[in-house]
Amino acid sequence: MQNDTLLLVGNPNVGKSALFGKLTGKYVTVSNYPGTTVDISHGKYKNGDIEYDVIDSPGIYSLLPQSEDEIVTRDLILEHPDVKVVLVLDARNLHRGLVIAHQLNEMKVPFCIALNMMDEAVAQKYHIDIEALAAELGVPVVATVATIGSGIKELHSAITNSAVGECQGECPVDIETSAAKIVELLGDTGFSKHITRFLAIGYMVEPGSLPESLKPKDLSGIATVAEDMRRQYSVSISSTMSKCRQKHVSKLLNRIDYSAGNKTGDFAVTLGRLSMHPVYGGFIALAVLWLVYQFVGVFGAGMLVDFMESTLFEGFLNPLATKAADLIPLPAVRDFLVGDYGIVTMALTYSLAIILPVVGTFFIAFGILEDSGYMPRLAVMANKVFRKMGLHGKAVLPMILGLGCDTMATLTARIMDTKKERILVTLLLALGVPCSAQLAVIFGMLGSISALGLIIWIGVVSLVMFITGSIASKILPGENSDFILELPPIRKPGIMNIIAKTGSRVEWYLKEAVPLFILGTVILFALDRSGVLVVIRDFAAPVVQVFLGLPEQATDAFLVGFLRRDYGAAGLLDLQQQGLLDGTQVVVSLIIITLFVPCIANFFVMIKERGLLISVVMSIFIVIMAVTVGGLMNFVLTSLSVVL
Amino acid sequence: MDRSRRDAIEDLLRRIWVEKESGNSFSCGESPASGNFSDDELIEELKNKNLVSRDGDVEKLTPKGEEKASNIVRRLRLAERLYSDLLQGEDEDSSAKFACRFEHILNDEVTDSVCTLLGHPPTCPHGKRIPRGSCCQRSEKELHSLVKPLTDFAPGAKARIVFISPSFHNRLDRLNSFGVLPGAEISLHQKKPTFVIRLGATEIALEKEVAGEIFAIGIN
Repeated sequence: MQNDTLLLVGNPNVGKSALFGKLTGKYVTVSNYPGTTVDISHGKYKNGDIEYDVIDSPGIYSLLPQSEDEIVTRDLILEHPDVKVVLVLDARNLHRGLVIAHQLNEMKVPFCIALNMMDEAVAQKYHIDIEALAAELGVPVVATVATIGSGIKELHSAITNSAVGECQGECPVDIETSAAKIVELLGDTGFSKHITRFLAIGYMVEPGSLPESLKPKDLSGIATVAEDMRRQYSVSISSTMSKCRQKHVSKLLNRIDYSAGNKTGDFAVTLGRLSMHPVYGGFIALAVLWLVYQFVGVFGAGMLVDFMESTLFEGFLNPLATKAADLIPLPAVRDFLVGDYGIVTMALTYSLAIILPVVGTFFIAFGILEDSGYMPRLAVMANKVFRKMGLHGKAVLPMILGLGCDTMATLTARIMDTKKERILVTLLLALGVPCSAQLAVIFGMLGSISALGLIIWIGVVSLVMFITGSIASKILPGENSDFILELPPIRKPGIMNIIAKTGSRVEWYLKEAVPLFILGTVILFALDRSGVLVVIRDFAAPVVQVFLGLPEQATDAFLVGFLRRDYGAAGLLDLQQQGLLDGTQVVVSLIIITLFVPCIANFFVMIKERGLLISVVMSIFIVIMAVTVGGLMNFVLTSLSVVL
Repeated sequence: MDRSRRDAIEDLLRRIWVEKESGNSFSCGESPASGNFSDDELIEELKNKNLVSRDGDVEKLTPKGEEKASNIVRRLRLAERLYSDLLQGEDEDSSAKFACRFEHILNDEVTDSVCTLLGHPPTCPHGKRIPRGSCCQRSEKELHSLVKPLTDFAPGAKARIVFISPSFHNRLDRLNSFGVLPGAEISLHQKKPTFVIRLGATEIALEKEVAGEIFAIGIN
């Protein structure tokens, strides 16, 4: 059997991942938010006698790379000389997608085209002559609807018949001449002459895009040629090139009589507009937050947790486990399993009975928001708020996800455009965004004191985030990016999509996060047994008692808070129920636990995503910040004798 | 001096300037002579007028010549813009021909008016730089510009993008990749809280700062 490579390429949010799933039978997170595919997925797909390694690539706008994603995708083509490409296009957006077809032609890479989202294009009365398009381009073109799998059969034969396209866009002559000079200077690159020319143009557009292996020892020759060109095209070479290509595409589309439909009066369109209206948009955002709170806070954290914790675990499973453990003669092992810091009684009870229902319901709600296309509109509404934190509207996705689980949110910080923004998002998530499990306990505690407590808590935490964000964005080196975001259409969320998405997130939670809770509990157990816990407590006690004005036992809660943020909050809840905390102490301790270092799972993901050094520096900063703000609030509230 | 001779001299000055722009030096005889006059003859005259001086075996513009030449280039490139933006000439050859004829009849004052009318464009349709004139520094608006930044349009307006004048290169590239390019027709959806434009089937949100750098002309 033959083994070939098949690469899915296309603009962001055109359904590459959905198509990938249909071809390989493998589920990858499909999202109605541009730029969600950050990891490259691999899968297998059999077509006749050929077995393909299918690769799903991040969404791009051009193969003349200007972003990391675009370099990654272009390099996937370079790395696989036998590659066939499926160019996935949004049937309603051919102007943009066909630019890539031109570039594939220039590189002489065989491809076929999947005109995806055909259902929506038909509903919106687009006129698309598929045969004429195929004839113009000289490659197979098929209509698909990836989400329901229609057109996949036709796609199989289109893949088999993939061809090098005919139509070709020309560059301005002087760019072409300079490219030829660079090609000459590069010598033998090991790539075809078409690809080498393409890389040369890429080099003029963005010098960093030239693969390291091709760089000649002496860069000055090619650098001079490129520099000359760049000086002449004062705006930019890439802009001139895009304009040329766009012109060719427009002419081609005119020839095949491609036209957009009329879609006024569409309810989804109206809803989409209202959700970005300066006034109504705000109300819609509030309504959405309220609904999410009802579902996650009241139903998930209230009813479901109640059932899981009191009925299932404490009423049934834990006594059972304790009885079973009684059979074990060694008390240390018994404690390890069912003691105060036991794996069953603490780790599993917390992670499955308390957090899972909260995180699970949150994932469902988040999935609905994501699939409906509402998130980017929320980004439009929230842009100015995030600007004050040194970020922009795009940060709304990780920040809202952080209210569910900071660990997972840290992973999605990748959708930010620059490294600096990713660091900032990671920092703010760790510092000020309480996760859902923690929120449930926090709301419970604040609910029993006056409303002023809640206002102070929200006010202080937000203020700390704004100040930290705006100062950090000034101090940190690197660039800020513009807020330019494509808004996908508002659509009815697909039930299957949400089930699949929630399923894969819950699976992630069970596989990645639960083991870390167990590890956290084991560490805590060890600290407790070895007496280290007492040493740390004694060491920290003066700070906690004098500076923060809290009872000595609160130290435990803060320490435990690192192993699980919500353990910490729950520890404080215990103290409050025992009557050891007054109103002021509740507010001060909640501010500290919210600002305090993230949980151990989040810390590991921070290291993985941002590196050890940055993560350690961030954590030290966060501890100092949390304690300082807590002490300050203690001082202010006590001196003003605020009664909460 | 007869007209064709003046045009020939202007053409030569422009050629020297353009050669310098592309990093080459100008020497006589390399490029085709302008009309009925030989380059050598014209160069002599430029030297007499103190517009060009000889440096080794290359001709260089004197400061006075530089000013005159950049004005000529400015006129030519503005004329090209006028043709492609307002008269919507598609074909680049005819745009160049039109511009060649037109540039010679523009005087400085009219040039500034055309520049203002076009919204002080930074580049010609081919992407080359248009030397700035005094009107650009003042960024005149008294004469009503037909081409204006998106921030000056009202929500609901339809417009054709004429040029983009970004503060950062990668901003331009990002916009280009969305298809926000000169010639694209858009409708402006809303200005608050963030600008939203529609282009074909795509809705794109962008900040005010970015919108202010996209210059467009209203269409019905």
